[in-house]
Amino acid sequence: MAAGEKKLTKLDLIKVWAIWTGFLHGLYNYERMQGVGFAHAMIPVIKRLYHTKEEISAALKRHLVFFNTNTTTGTIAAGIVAAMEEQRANGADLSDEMINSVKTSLMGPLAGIGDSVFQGMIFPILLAVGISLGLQGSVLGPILYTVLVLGISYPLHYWWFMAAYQQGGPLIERLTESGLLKQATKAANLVGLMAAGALTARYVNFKIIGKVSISGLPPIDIQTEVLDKILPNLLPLGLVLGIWALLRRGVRVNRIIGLVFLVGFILGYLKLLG
Amino acid sequence: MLQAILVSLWAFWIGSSLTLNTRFFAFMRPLVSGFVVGLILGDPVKGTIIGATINAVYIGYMSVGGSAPADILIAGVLGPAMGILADMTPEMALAFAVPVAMVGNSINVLKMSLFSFFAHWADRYAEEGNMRGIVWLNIIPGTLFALVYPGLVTFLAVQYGAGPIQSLLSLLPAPVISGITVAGKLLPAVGYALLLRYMTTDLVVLPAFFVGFVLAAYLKLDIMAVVILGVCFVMLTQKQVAGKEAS
Repeated sequence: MAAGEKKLTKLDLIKVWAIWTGFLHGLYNYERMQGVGFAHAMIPVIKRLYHTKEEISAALKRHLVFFNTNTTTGTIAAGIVAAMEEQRANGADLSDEMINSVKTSLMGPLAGIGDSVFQGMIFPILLAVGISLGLQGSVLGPILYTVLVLGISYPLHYWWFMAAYQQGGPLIERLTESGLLKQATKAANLVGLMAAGALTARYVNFKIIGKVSISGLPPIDIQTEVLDKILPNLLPLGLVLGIWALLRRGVRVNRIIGLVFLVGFILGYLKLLG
Repeated sequence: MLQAILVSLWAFWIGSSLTLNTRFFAFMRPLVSGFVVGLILGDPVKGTIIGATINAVYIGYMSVGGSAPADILIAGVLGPAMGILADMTPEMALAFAVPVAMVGNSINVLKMSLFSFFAHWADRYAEEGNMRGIVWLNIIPGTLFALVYPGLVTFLAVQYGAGPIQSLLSLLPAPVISGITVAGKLLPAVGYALLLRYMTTDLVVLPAFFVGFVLAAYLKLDIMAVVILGVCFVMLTQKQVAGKEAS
């Protein structure tokens, strides 16, 4: 290491990670999305590496541009950019455009991975467990969910951030090409689907009220004597699959919520369902 | 009064950036928020049940690219709070929370539009090399906004809304109540269908959904049991595939 080389300290890096984690969405807006949050997170880096007003101003402008990614996997972008800034401050030939193009090329894939792994897999699976306990009146549900989701997410994205700072681009290649991520995603996908199926069976509870009477025979309870004999929870299954079909056809969620509300209200009002 | 203040402080905290983003992972989820609100209002079990009921609808909630389908934060605060204070069933609290979440979402859209304007101040600070300016800009407006929404809004709703809502509910005729109740029973299906939608981009995996359904419908297994079975099943099959490839 050459004398006088500028180096980020461990504390600087922890600060970047903490600001990123906490304040990325501080001024979340349509024009720059996480732009101001990104610049905020880079301030410990800027303070350490740059000292003239021109340098500081240029660095701030560099990071105020449009940026939007997943908070969790996005720490990888923060780590890589921190490393790039360090190299640049030590004389590496890294232009604003180069740093910017790295940021822009990272945010799409990182958002894709992060959104599908965290919001699409980890959250729903843990929520499924927590909700099922909660619906039974157990306060263990929310507590367990909180402990697990924080215990999994925070160490993971702290580690990603530090690894990205040290290893840069190759980390992402290792993540995506090792097949580990793909395998884990596929596994989580199957578990999530099983949870969704079980939730449908256990926690969508409604039934048909009413009996059909055919002359001469005792009246038949449609729910217990017909539907339950075919398949328990047939109606909830049908409803979930029906909504799924609508979603697949691109019908907007809020419209479906409105529709389900209305249909449920009418059928309940008429005492057909209960 | 004290309870209303505490609930609104909770809403403010999870509405601000001051949670180090734990809100996104845990605290703004209705399941968790319902428990905390219940704790404040003296009935953590009911708060949890209502929170879980609301969260079921939003179990597949995804906020992608800055657009979210609903404000689950306000649903998770006001649903359980009103449910407890106005003595609603979980289904009725859900039916109350869903439209609240939709209105709340448009307030968030408004906020993100307003904050686009502040982003230009950041450019001015950058020009001056004013780092402190950027830090404050990233913290203050968001925190002030959270004081008003969801903070103040929650306070007003809890302090002055619960009574009128309760007397309104007592005026509703029985068929209307049973209509709302059935609607509340059907709504979680939307959440599970959303989950199914996200997880079946490849239709090959669809049978896993029916495996889970059958385990719970016929064998009456709990979700935890199904998840554990699922993890074991996946580990076994993946080990086998890996083993075959190695041999």
